[in-house]
Amino acid sequence: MDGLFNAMNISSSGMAAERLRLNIISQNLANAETTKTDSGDPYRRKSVVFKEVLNSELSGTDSYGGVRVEEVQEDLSPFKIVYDPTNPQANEEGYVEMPNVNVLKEMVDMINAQRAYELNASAVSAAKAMYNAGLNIGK
Amino acid sequence: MLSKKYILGGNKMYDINFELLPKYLEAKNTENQIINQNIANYSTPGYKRKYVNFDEELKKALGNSDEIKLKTNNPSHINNTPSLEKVQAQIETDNSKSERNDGNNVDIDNEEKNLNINYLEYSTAARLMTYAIQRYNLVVRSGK
Repeated sequence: MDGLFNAMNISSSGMAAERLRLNIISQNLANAETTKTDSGDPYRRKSVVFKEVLNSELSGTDSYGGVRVEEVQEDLSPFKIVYDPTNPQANEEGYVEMPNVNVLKEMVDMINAQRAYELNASAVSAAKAMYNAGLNIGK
Repeated sequence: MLSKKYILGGNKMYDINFELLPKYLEAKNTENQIINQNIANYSTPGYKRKYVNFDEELKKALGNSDEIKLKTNNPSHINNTPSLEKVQAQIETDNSKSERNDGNNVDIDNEEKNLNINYLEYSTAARLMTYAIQRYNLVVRSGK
């Protein structure tokens, strides 16, 4: 990703990563009540793991490549147990295992991801304005 | 502020603007990349913010820093003030503690501020570069 307009590449990698995070958060919220998945268990909350990208390992020069999503991890914390005997998924004692999604936490994460996305977007326009100032030298 | 040798170099046309401003623009471009890298890694666990200490080095080279200078009379002597030609943007890592759980110490508001300051500094230098060129232009066109 090295080059003349590297700053914009860095910010766009940040935007892509934050967008994926936002997608995963939406997935979590949509499945906040899903008691059955393909594996038979309730839905497990997912989260993204970000990693910094350094191009110096490849080219030997100091250049920065932004960020990438290394993996999407499943949250292995225990499921919520809710007493609901009328639910078809309930066991003999009337308890249902619900997904380990905390809606409040997801909302906070969502605002965070949104703010970070916006800032990356404004960094792109700042870089663009800066390059324009450079192109106008001498005029 | 500047010693006389930087302003007039004998018979040779030597203008500090053409030495200093491109260097400054290049450093500000690097700084912009570093700020964008910090912003892109706002959500990366354990990431430590990076910064460029060009301004401080430039101050030293221009002889405006508070640091005690080592006096030399030979270029090969040990010197703690870099020469203007050798000043360049050094990228350093801020290893300060984080108030966040994931060990990441990027302060997003601070980065936003740095981004704007950096843009204005770059624009200022670009404008100064334009003025420097226009001055010669004026002379070449004999004031027309």
